[in-house]
Amino acid sequence: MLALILLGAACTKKETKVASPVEEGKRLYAVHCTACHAADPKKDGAVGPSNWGSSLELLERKLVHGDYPPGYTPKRPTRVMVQLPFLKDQIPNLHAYLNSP
Amino acid sequence: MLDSLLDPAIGLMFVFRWLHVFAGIIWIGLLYYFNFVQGAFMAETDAGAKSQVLQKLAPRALWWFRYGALYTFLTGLFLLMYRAHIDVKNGSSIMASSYWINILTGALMATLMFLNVWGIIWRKQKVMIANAVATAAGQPANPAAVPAGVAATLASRTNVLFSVPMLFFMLSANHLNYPVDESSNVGLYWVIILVLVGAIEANGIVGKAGPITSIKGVITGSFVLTAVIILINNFVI
Ligand code: HEC
Repeated sequence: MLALILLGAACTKKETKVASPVEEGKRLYAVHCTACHAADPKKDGAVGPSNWGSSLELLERKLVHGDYPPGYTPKRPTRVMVQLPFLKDQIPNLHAYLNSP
Repeated sequence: MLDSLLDPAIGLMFVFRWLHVFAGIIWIGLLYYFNFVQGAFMAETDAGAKSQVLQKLAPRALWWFRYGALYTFLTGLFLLMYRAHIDVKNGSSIMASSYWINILTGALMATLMFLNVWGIIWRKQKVMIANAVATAAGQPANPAAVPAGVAATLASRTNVLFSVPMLFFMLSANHLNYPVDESSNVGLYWVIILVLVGAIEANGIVGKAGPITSIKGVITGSFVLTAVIILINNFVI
């Protein structure tokens, strides 16, 4: 029953126009990152720091490998963030959003 | 691991969350025991066994039940306040965040459940237990014991009704996030939720059990209520 309703709700969601990389990155950020980072990436979150302006390389290292580009000074010394390697193909979208004006 | 555990923002939150779930298991486990097991047993057993359950078993179960509820509430309150403190310090919006919408939806129901435990269920059960002890000692039955049982059962069933959506929204705060903007209708969402949840709570205090009288009815109702709140969330926000 619950599954049916969820399915119904999913189908009614209007997904007419194709989202731009920035919009898609914004959606991905809200879904995958805001458990730890702030809803607004310019601000520090409860667990993770601000990640506004992250480079492609930083996102790739952090999401896929769980570390940092060589020589990069992390904002936090901790190693708390989970790896999210399944987002690898979405990194350009996340990058577009985190570097949008 | 110890580094993370000793980090105040991360480790402290985690330890309290762990204790919160531990106490919550004790509480809700007993809630389900009362509703799904003990109630059905009491309905079909003989008067002697009933009296024994009320005198010897129920007080023990109720002790773990209400203190489980108290510690779940206190650890949860700490988690909410600590998180609010961090978010306010960082200048993060509390309205426009799926974490806050979800956790407060769960916390609203959980707080009412906690108040039902101490304010209704435990107070009414005390009347029933005292009556069982008195009648076993040959004293006359207290006429208030029967309505006390009805009121305790209704509040208890109401707590089961709240429990499935409560758990869904507590868990979704950190595990099922979604986009929320400053332009989203968060205020309208809260008005609808407060009316809906308030009506169910009012029914739990002065209303009738109706469809949640049966075990099947209350479990189904609990999942339906979860689905209803999900749909409200989806279409309003
Ligand atoms: C489980 C919580 C969690 C989730 C989910 C999470 N992060 Fe993080 N993130 C952190 C924490 C904590 C740090 C600080 C370093 C550390 O402890 O790993 C961090 C650091 C970062 C950094 C490095 C910042 C810097 O310059 O030092 C980037 C970039 C980042 N996160 C991006 C993301 C993105 C993008 C997502 C979503 C796809 C995401 N994070 C999801 C917790 C999280």
